[in-house]
Amino acid sequence: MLRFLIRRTLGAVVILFLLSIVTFLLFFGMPRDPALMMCGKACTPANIENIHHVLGLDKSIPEQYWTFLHNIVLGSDAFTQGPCPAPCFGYSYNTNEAVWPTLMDRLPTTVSLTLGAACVFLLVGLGTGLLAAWKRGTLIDKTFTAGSMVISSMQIYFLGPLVLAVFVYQSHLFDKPAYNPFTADPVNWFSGLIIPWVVLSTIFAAQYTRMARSSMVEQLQEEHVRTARAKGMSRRYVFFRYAWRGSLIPIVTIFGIDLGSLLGGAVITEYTFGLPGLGQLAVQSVAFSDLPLLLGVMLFAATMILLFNIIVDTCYAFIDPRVRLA
Amino acid sequence: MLTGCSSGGSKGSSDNNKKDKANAERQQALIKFGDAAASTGPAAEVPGAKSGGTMELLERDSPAHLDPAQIYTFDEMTLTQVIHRGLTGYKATSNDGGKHEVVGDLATDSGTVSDGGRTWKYTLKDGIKFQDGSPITSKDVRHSFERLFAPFITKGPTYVQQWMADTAGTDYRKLLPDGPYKGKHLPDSILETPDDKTVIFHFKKPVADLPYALGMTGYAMVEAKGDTKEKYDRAPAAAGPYKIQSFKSGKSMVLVKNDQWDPKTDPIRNQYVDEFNITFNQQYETSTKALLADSGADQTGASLQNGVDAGNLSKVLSDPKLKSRTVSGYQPYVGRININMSKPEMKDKKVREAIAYALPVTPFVRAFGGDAAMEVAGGLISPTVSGYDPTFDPFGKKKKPAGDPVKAKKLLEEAGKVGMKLTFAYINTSEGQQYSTAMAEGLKKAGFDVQRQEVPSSNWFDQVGKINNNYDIFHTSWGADWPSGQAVFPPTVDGRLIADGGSNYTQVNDPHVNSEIDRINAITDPVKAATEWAKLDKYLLTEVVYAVPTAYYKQVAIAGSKVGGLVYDDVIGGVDARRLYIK
Amino acid sequence: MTSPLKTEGGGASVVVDGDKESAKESQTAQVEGRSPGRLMWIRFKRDRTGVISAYVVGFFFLIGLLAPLISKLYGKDPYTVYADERPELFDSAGVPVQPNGGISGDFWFGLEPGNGYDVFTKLIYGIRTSLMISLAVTVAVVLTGILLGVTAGYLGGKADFFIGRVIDFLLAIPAQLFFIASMPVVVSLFVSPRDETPTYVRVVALIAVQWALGWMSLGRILRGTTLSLREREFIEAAKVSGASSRRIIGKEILPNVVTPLLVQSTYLLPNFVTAEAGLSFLGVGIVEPTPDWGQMFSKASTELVLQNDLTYMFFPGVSMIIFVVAFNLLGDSVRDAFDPKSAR
Repeated sequence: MLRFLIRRTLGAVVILFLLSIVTFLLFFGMPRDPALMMCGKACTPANIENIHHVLGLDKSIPEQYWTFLHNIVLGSDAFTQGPCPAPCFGYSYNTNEAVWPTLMDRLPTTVSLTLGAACVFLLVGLGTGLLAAWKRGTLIDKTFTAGSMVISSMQIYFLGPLVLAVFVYQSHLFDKPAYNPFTADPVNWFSGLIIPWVVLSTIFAAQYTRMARSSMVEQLQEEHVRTARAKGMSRRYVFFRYAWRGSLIPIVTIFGIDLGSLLGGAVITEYTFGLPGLGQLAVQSVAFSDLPLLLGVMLFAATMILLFNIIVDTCYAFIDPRVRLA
Repeated sequence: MLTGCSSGGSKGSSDNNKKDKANAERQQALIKFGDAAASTGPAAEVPGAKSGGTMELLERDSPAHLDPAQIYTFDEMTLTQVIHRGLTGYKATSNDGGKHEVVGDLATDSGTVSDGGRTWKYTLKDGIKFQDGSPITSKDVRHSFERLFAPFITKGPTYVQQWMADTAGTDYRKLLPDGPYKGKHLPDSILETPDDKTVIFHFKKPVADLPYALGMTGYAMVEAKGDTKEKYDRAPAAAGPYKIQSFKSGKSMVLVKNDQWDPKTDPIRNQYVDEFNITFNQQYETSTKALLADSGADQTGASLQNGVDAGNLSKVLSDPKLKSRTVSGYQPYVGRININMSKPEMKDKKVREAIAYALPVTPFVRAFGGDAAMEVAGGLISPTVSGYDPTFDPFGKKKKPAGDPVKAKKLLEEAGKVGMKLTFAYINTSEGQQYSTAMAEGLKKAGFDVQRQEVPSSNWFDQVGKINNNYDIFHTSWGADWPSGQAVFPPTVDGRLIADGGSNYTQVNDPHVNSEIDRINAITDPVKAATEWAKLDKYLLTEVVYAVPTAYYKQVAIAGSKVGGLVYDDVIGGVDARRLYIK
Repeated sequence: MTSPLKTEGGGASVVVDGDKESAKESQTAQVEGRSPGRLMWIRFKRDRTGVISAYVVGFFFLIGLLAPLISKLYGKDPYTVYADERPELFDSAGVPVQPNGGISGDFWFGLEPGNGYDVFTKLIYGIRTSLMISLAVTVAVVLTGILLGVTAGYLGGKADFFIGRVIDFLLAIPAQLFFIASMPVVVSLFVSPRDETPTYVRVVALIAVQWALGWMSLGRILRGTTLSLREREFIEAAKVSGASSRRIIGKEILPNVVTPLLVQSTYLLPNFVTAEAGLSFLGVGIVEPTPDWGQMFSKASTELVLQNDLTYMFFPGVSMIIFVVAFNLLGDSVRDAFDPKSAR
């Protein structure tokens, strides 16, 4: 178990390292010079040079990259804006705020959005999916199957604006979604996120319904389940004792992957509802050629994905006794 | 307006125009330079005002800068009115935000001029202090002006620096390349501070407008000993009635009373509320909705820069109860399509006229929310600037806002340039995309081969401000830094100021225009100057044809029911925070 | 938001089942004299849902293909600014004054708030753009999947290890963030910032970035299939008889991976359509005035539309739902036709 975790963690670090190189190179392909933007109105070539110097953009790319890595691990005091303890991603070119605190500042929005929606879609999706499988062939099954088919084919960029238009703009039943910290006011936190939660979890729940149903149906055809049935165990017993455990495995995989990628920034959802999370931060950082922020968001998002991959693989061991981690 | 059923027409309305015009007329009263009596504090009481309470401000834009020397946008300026103080300031002389006078703020008067406008002398008041209690002396004044030359100061206005160095463009930086930080200082022949209280500016050419310019937040004072250079931008020392207690960029700011501020020294500002609690990142519809609902803390809520959003405008303006909570006015911006006069293809006046007649301005009005937010423009002097002529309509845009392709095509045929390539740069925002595509369609109808080029919004001004840019036409807007033609024409049409990063975007260089600028600049009678600027506007648009005016910007602001002293101030282009109180 | 991995989860079992089945089928074929392809076709034709879905999908492709012809017959194009041509139909903010988004005999699907483009032609041209891009991505992904997946599976060893690590790496990249970050870069590679960005450059860039992060799931599946095929007797036999690797791959392996390939492609294409639309929605894909499905969603989410014209958003929305549902049903039917056992 421990060896497995160490091996996977090392692998993840290597991937993150490679990803930081890719993002770094990507930035150098960007058509814009951040110095031009920071330089402002009365800009002289000398000023631009000076900004390049301050930002360290006058050094060679490997050198800059090395500084970047060094700062993440050890922090740095070299910034004019102030000290930058590890993990130091530097200061944003655009807002002059330190990147890591900015990420931590935006994280609660993304976490609230994701976890809130995840609870709903996992429960609803699994529930309806298993129910459909249990009632296979009945009207309930057909309704759920057809419904989930249509809903899962909707996109957030359609359902989101639609819900906004109907419930916020036309009927004024709800407030425009906003993020208010849970610690400040739980009621506002809840009411501000209810629409994003509903939209996000509706679409995901429909996908999970489909997955849960087909996974369960598949399980019921497995040899060991059929054997159990043949031995005279009741359908109910087999269903709830054997089959559902097996059917969870693919769902746990997908759930882990979904959660990881959502926690790294639910870009389209945050963009649709104007929520100030990590995804919105990423869109901003690209619009402003903000390399430190972009690197920060990318690496954070990738870390989330990798972390959840490891978590998923670890979970296997608990759900499926056949899996041994080595 | 039409009465659509389920969803006919946008829910905006347009009968606010009359009031706006009245607002604009009030602005045409000219601004005087106040004497010592006018510059003596305390500021006149706002009728009915009470002290105390916390006011909520809902703003969209979080200030990118708080260092006065970096402040040049209206959102930063309106907010920091209550924080920073400069040598002069604009004192409202009426309770509607319309009439103003330039008075001494930290200085005892608006300035004593001698030597035919070349020398300006200021004396600092007694009892003026920064928030840490240290007195503001001429040393701070010297430091504040010298640091404007430092390389990290890049965003603020450059008028005074250019006057000091007697150069255009960015060459002023050579005067003091490192600012005051490496031991060098401006010589007494430029800035003289003989004692703690006296500041004397010496210019090579007459500068008639110095008191106006010094009233901009960009020339407010920075504490010499507390200057942390780049870091000052996050935590500046206040000299005004409020200081920053906390600031989270993009999220919130809390302003509390500055106990070191002495009302007796300040003829401009009041200090009624105990605390301003500012929330940023509030879109117009969010702030409007909260203020309309008028419940809880929002009853004492207002917004300095957020207008009423287009969707709620008709609702607000048609309900007398709601309307009583609004104030409205023009913003000082005028939109225009610039024609790049440096391009050989644009040398033909007929071609420029063809562009001017063909160009539809409706796309621009539409993209920003219709005629409640934008008014089709005639000339380039806005309704807020003295000399505005509502009948002036050089290209018939008020009658045919969608353009006159027939006339344009004829002009283009006369020029023999049908099918000529026209490179149209646009800012890559959703509005920019929307109006540029529709404008391009209009120009195509007149026979132009329009090539649209997108420019990222983050470096839009760098791209269009380059002398050798490839663009034939592009849209910018200009907001007068003070309500006179002097703040409109010299910066935008003086051919001698063409430079990279300059604001003469069209690169127009007309000898007559240049000499007129010099002539009118020297006119000391503001009424006469205003009529002369209006004449120059007509000459520029009918004879030179260097730009096509598109629209005058408008805004309606709303506040909670317990907010008093709500005034839309035309000079600062927003709600005046200095007068607000809680009923 | 659909992760491309999802198709992998559902597809993995199909593959294994699929080749067992195809082997059985080839035996049956000898007896009855029907090829596996023909059998599949017969099974597919019996599936009414599948046939209807196929017609719907075909209909969309036909619309895309014939968009210029249709708009010519209809007499309008998606570029005319009706807000300036017919100002009486709009208010000053560009919202159609007629109810329901200005639907009329002249404008079947109404007018777009803002510049007042004709929604009908914009939609059919938008479908054309989106399908063209997604089809190209699918083709590119299939070719890459075959090349790398089959190589990894057949060669094994170092090549397999290397390709496997590349796949691991690419799967760890936050796809949407990567798309957003790389679009401006890829566009700038093709065009100097001074020139107008032609639409085809954006199209190529969209294809490139989606391709770069789109092939891994298919690659893995094909690797798995190839790996199991490699151990089978008929490949062994071919090897022993001295056939070259090229011949083995071309004649023995490729025909046997067609099944998972076809099934996976029908699942991938709608994913690419929705992902492309998502990028245009975020403003990094196709931009106005080029009609595009996703760009219509971007318009639909503006204040102007949300406040005033609910009707508008239904045209891109409903058409996309129909398309995706039909394509997914088609995918299920194709899979079932290949592999009757997995019918659910």
